[in-house]
Amino acid sequence: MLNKQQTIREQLEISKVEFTEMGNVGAMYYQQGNYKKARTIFEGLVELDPQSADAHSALGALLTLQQQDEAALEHLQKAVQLNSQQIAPYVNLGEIFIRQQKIEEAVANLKKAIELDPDEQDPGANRARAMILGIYQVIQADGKATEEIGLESDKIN
Amino acid sequence: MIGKLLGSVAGSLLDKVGLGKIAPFVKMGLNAITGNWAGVAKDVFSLVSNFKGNFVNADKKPPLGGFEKQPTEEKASLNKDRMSGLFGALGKLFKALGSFGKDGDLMGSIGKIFSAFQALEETMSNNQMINERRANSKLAQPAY
Repeated sequence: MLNKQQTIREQLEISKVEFTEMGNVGAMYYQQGNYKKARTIFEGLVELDPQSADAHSALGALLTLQQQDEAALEHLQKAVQLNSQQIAPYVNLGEIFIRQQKIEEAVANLKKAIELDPDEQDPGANRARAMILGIYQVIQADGKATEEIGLESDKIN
Repeated sequence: MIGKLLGSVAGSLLDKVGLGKIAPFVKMGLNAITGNWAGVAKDVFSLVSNFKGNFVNADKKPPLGGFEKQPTEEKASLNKDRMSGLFGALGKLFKALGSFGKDGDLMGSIGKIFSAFQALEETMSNNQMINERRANSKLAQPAY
């Protein structure tokens, strides 16, 4: 039964569909605001399959929400390493870097999230756009922006 | 002072995505930039200048990623019985580890998985109970 090459998910013969169903339950608790239960599930899923970008992304998001930034960074960077096409980890890395006052790193990550959503449909990428506009408003207020953007009327709802 | 200033500047927009509290960090972070200010401003401008949408559907919390997407169309297979089976399999794995000598990291991993399974089984039980109650209440309704 023990095989160090396999993940515990594989050893327990949990299919990818079942694994995603487990993640969906965690996501349900997250959306309901039951973060304790969501965290218990996401932590378990990371251990079940350390190669799952989805599991690292979800746990990283929850830790971002709880402002446990160092732990969140570890999982979000792992998620990006496993799947560089996911939008969510970049958005959350952007938020953490803002909190750490590393604006250049924040902008670089938010930029990646936005570039992965050219149709402007992804709620996570739109969160990134809101953060970018927030940064731009501060730049404007500081008088350091060279161009004006009509934000208030047509872009902020 | 900074918080008050930003309340009128970036707060309104960041508030919309649940990030009003990080507005002061934006200001402090911008002040901390020692390198190319113009480059950062240009990058930011280029990202927002073409935005045609709005923020009605922007996430209000950090996005989770793949688990938030709709489940696959394949038939859901997780239920209380399946979770009971997984508990059994996890127990066997735990025993096998014991016979190989205790690996602290692996034991810790199994502990976290066990807790996750407990939370999942509880959810499955509740769902099953809700579904059974619904079915019973339908049966109890008079036929017309």
